Amino acid sequence: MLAVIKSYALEGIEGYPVDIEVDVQSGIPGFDIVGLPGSSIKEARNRVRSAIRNSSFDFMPRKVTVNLAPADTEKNGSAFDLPIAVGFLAGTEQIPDAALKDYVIIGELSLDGGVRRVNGILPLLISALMAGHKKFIVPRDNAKEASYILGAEVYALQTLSEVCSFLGGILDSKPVEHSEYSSDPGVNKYGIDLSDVKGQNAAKRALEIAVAGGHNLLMCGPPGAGKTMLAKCVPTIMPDMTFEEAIETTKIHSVAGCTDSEQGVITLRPFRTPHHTASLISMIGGGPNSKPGEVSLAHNGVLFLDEMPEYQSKTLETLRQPLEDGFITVTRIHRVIEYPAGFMLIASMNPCPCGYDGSRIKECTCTPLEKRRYKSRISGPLLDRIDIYADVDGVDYSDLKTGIPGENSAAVKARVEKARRIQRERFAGTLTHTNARMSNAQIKKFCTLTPGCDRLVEIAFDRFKLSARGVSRIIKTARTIADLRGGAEICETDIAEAIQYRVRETEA
Amino acid sequence: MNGKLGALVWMNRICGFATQKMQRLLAIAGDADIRRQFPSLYARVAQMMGSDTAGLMMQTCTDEELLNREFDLLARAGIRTISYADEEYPALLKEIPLPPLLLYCKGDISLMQTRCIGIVGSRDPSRYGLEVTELFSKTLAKCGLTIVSGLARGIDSTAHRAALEAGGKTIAVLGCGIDKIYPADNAPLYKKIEKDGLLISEYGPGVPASNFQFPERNRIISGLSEGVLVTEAGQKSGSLHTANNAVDQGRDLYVVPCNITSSRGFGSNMLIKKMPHCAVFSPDDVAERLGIHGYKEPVSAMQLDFIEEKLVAGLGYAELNFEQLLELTGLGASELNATLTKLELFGIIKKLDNNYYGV
Repeated sequence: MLAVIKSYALEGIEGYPVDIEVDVQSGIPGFDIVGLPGSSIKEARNRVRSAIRNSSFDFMPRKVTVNLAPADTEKNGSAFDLPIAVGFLAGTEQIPDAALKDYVIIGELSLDGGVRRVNGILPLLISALMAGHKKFIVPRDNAKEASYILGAEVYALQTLSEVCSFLGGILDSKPVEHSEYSSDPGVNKYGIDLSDVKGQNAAKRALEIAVAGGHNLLMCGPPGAGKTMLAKCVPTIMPDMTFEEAIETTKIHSVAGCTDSEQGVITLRPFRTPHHTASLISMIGGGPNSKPGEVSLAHNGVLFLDEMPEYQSKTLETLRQPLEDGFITVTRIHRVIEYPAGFMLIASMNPCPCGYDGSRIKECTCTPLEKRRYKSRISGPLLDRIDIYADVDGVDYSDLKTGIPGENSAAVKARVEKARRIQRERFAGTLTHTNARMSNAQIKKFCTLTPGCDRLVEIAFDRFKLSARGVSRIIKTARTIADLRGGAEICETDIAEAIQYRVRETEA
Repeated sequence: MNGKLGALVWMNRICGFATQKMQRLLAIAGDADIRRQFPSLYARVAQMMGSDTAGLMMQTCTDEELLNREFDLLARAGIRTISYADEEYPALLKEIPLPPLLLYCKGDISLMQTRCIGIVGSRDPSRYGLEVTELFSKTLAKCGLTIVSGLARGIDSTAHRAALEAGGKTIAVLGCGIDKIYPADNAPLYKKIEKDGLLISEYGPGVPASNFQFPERNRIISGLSEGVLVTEAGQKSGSLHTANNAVDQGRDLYVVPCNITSSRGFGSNMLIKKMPHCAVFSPDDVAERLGIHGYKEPVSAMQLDFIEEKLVAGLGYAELNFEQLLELTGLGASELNATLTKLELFGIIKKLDNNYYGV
């Protein structure tokens, strides 16, 4: 007898429907899975057999053929265990098949008949819901994640026998209660606050501007000056994630298998710090299963590259596309996948390999060649995508001890949110969200300079030998400074301040 | 082709002789044109340099075509050749022991007739060394002196660059072939000097840089100059060599005192210890000893407000970092940044490394 179960598989961060057809015939006993199963699916037969027996059902010796339709796309993962087992039981008439067509079933089986959590529940369910499916059976451990989807009737069950009783109408299970998204505004959940960083007012101000306008930031300073700590504070002053952002981010993290079953959706902005030995694939995504990489995991959050020149130059150069477009295209033999990658880049570096060039405390021991090599590791095109450059100096001990605590994150965050609101209104109806992503036409439209400002830019252009791109970066930054101030027009002090943050070209 | 020049180019480019050998050959020839008279000199040359070398010279001495091709090559590369007998040859350089007989030049050769001062120092200078170099080079260039240095990394490059930035003139004496850029990262500076200054070398095109040539080059730097200024030299710096040359050649030596706690200025301080009268404390000191008027920076016409005055005064006392300036001025980070930019734009202050500012 033939049973058909609806399930969903992942392609990037979207789901697509897979019909699991289980045909049970009499004949020489065997269990075949066809339809391009990956090795984790081929192994499903062993899990299914044990799970069925250990759930006190009968694994009858029959000729069983399982087809995963569409048969021409390669499938991976363990989410088909449960639908295959249910299909077998329906095919052998151990459970009634009347209710099956109403449900989309997703889940991995353990040998004892338990249902285990799978990755990517959120994107799978969202895609299925959009395709018109309403009822879902998912693992209990994925319940929290699934509960945020409005309009879905999700049944989260714990064992194969529960699933069978439920489908047979014996077990009366309630659908998972819908969870409201709340990001607890005003509560700092990051375990760090800007007021913990002593001194460093120049860098703090640079951070504020960078976050307010979505500008990429490069910090340069000796080891131990507090660059990493400052970077860690960035999420605390970023605006709270909206529901849409949270879902987008959770989708990616869910696919990558790094969500937390307690929490469900990700409410904190991601702060990703890939190590400098990170491979190209781990950074941009890909590999056999085309998993999202660090740039995508940092979507809506911060990608922090500590000691930027230590990264492989190839890895750094791949950041150019996501920095420009906000997404990354991963091309592999079997598929081309587009992952969102809208992150804010924060990079830090030392002034030289030993870290003490120009320091007042310690003498630098690097040769000129070493210094030049170190600096040349960050290519011009990459540097071009960095709007704000901040020098971070070491802190005096007296500052550490007695330093008056500066502003806390909440106060800065309030200003940032105000500036972001102004930007949202400004760019309403366009694809741009922040000042950093303004096109040239938008710069012309929104950043009119007074004659005074114009003169200032002109003097700076001559004196600091700026490039045309350098000028547009200064104007964009000045726009953000004006937004922070709440000013409609860019004034001279805004431009003057922005000029301080220009990227200082290293001397030839 | 000019007899003397032709003879020198023949010996240097075709026979491959350096200055010392050329001088010995010219001494043998006396007043005669060595190329034309070579057959009669053959025996003595063979005795001095061996018959192989003399034989080679014999083969090429009258080959006009070969020589013309060499001159063509030089002309096409834009290289001027000046022999010690030419009137363009700087008089001062003739006074030194073993002056270069043949100079390859690119750029404005009239600069060799101007008053020159050599500025030399470490290839791996401290920030202080660079700052001092910039100050002296800029000011002295503005006084009308031509800055002579060796286009090496560090102090040398900074001296050249500062002179050009101040709108002054500069001569770079290379320790490698005139067409070689060493170190290679000085290519932009090389091109700039070729355009606005003068590049000279004792070595013809194609000669690679090699260790022994740099000390030889140093004697030309001091030879061209009325005085040599050492801005920062470590214990084993090549610039000490230039300083010794200067003294041997009877030139003035000026040394800027360095930080006594840093090994980077050890050589400079040792020079001062040995020759205390060499110490100079400002560009005016140098100008005074050379008998020229010091250069006065025109007073900025910009009106400073109260806080800006305070800031500039504070920086005049010591270099301060951003945090200290916040405390000094009582401004917020945002206003302070704006103020600093304004003062920086008008050239009153400048930003240093690690968020420090100075005047």
